[in-house]
Amino acid sequence: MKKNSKYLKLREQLPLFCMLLPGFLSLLIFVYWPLRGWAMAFWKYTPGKGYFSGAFKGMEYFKMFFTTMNDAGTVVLNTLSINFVTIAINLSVALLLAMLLNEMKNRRWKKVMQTLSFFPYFVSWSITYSIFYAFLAAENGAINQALVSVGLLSKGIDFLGSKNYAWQMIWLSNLWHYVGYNSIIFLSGIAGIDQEMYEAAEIDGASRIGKMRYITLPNLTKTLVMLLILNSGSVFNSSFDQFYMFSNVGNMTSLEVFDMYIYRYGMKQGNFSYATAVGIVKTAASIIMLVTVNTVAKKLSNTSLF
Amino acid sequence: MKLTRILALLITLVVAIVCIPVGFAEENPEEYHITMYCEGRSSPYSSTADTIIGQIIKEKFNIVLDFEVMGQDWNEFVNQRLVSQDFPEIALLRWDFAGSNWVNGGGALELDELFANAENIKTLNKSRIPLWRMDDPTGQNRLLKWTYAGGLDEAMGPRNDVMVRADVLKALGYPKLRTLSDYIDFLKKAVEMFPTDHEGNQTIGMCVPFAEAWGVNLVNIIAEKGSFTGCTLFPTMYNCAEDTFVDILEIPSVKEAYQFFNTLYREGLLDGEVFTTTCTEIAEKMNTAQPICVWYPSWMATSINRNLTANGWEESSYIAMPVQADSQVENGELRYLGIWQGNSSYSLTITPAAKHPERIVELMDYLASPEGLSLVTWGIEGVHYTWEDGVKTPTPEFVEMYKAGEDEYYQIGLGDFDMLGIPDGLNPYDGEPVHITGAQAFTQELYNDAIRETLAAYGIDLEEQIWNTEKGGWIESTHVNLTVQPSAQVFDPDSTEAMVSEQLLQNRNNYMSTLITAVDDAAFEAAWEQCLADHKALNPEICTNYVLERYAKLTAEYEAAIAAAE
Repeated sequence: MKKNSKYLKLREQLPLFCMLLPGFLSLLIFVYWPLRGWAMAFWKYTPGKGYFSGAFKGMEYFKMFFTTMNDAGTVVLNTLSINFVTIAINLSVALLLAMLLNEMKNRRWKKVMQTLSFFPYFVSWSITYSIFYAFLAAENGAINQALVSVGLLSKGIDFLGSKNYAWQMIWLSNLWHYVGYNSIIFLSGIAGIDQEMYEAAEIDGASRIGKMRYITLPNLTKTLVMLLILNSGSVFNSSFDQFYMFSNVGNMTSLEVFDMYIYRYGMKQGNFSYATAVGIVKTAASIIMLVTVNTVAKKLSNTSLF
Repeated sequence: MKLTRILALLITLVVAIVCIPVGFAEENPEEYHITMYCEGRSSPYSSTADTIIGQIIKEKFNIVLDFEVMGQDWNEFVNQRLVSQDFPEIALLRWDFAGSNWVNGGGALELDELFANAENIKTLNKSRIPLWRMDDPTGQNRLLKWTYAGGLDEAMGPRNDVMVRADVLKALGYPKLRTLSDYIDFLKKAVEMFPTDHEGNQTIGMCVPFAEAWGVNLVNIIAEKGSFTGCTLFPTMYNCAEDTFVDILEIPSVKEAYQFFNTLYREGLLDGEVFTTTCTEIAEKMNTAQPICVWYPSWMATSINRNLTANGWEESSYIAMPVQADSQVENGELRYLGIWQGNSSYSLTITPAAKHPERIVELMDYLASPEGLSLVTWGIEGVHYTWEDGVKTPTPEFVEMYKAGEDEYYQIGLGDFDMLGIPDGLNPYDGEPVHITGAQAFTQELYNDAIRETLAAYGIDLEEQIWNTEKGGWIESTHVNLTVQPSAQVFDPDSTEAMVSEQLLQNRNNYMSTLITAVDDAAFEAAWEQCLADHKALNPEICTNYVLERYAKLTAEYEAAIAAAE
């Protein structure tokens, strides 16, 4: 009987499984199948000769990253510093934007503001850099020129070429790029809040700020925690396009993150084995981070991804 | 409804009639199109089929070269193609042919058999073929590549020093600029005298394209203004005077160059956007004569001067001036001009993807013949050049075309076949410069009045005579044949030497902005000491010893090969 009921359940859900199939196959082909390339990290890989044709190196490339090359510290520091702050800023500003958008009564203006805030998400990083250059270039940038002309500065500040401002440029450009996208997730969370709570608060004389503080925010906690968990898994990832565009000789020490490091050794120097090993280190660290944050979130707030 | 259906049917029929012949039309089966990948291209014509010279070649060989600009970093392009085994038919590799995985990855055909009957190629490249063989990474001395743009016996003139505005030189009495200190004094006076450019923008003392992929090493290149030469992307440079290799940071002039740029920075003479400026942005600034000086990319001068003249600002044309470190002058260091015989910086190979490698070699052999070499580098006799009193001379019409720099000039197609083994220097068949643009008369014709006036004030006829004290210049130079030196600095990407080399390069890169933007001498010295300390901690002698050993080995092999050939 039990077997029959399982079979019946399967038959009933067959259309759903069929709908899942393309996505699952894509995942298999484009995510899991390429993982066989991880063999490059354990054997000396020569292009055109197969993954296992070279000498077996074992953990040599992994050891190299942490010892001989001495780069692990800088790369990890840059990656985590930039990404942790990025996550914190992006989520908090997106949350604020979502709450403010939610407070707008004029629907047309709300849609306009939403579209305008979402628009940068579709702008490529090369155009984003050009926009930043137009505003922030040391000599010809609009902002520097304005500040120099009113006498606030004697000389333009090299925001884009100095390592002192490199992280800030990444945070700012990330915020500009993703704030609209992230706010949509919060807006959908807000849309799911029971309107009766707002009505009850209205009756009790709660102000707008009060409603945001005592109704909106607490109800968004779950969404926020889920987003934090999801983002924690990608804290070692960086948008390669963004870093490629913003890196230059003046700030490269501050922008050497995992993805740029892997690109430098893999695609530029042609040392694919070493680059793959560093990539695996990054993946392992991301998984550990995701599981840790998920466990902590589960314990503290009873909310978790899995 | 019926009318709509009839209309739809009619449109479908028309489209079918038009498309079907096109869809089934066969390309001329004999016509051979080869895609040539390049880093950049100034000509608006992307196919030799659209050019005059290309048409002649097509009639003879039915081969067309189609140029495609890569639009990405060269190493990245090569590695992507290698990993995916998606080889172009002809591959251009840069400095690291011998050490790269390209050959081991199956990306190069053996050329011995293909070149067996290519007598012109063998004649033209007699002294270079042994060098090409030595770049076989397996050590079997197979012929796997050829090079182009390397000089045959006449050194390429000094180039890529500093471009300086002619009107500023005039206003300051035509100083004989030479040392880094000379430039600092010159620029201090220059920016005071010329505070704005022709469009009211604040003048910049010195622009440097540090943001280019190779830009990080424009500081170290000062060593080449004396007795060193070599690609500064490697950890060592070749000392031409002493026939040895030296670690870059041990060369005194390198520290001086950092100090020079630091001084410019502190004095407000260095471009404020220097770390984010590429040649493209510098060209925009030069078009209004905003920089007084530009460090390195002197190849831009011709087109910039053309633009300045067109805008009525000819007096601000840029002219190449020399530069040396103060210590180089104090020590009496000669400026060595290298004759890059093998020129490993431009190695090409035919890959297994080539459909007709024998046809490629047939074309290359023709290009190496007296007729072919002259055609693709000078054009058509009587149209683009003539012989006057035994000297090959560009025609006035050609000179005007070149000066105008319009489509008409590019349509000739000069230079399009260079990658198929065209060298630099003197043509061994007629003793004239290989390229029409190397003719002295041509060079002088290109000078506008401002440049001519400036040269006359210095008592010389050509810019390159600055580096020839016998012809009125103030820098003494000499030549050195570079044979195996470029190949000596090649590492297996997976080797310890390669990893150390990359770390040394990265260390120099890391300290570059710190050194250049140091607020005072004490900060500079502290940063320099730290840079040196970090450099030494990476054991640079691993690379230096490897290069020296490899150089000794390759030199012995080359000498043996030359002796055997004789």
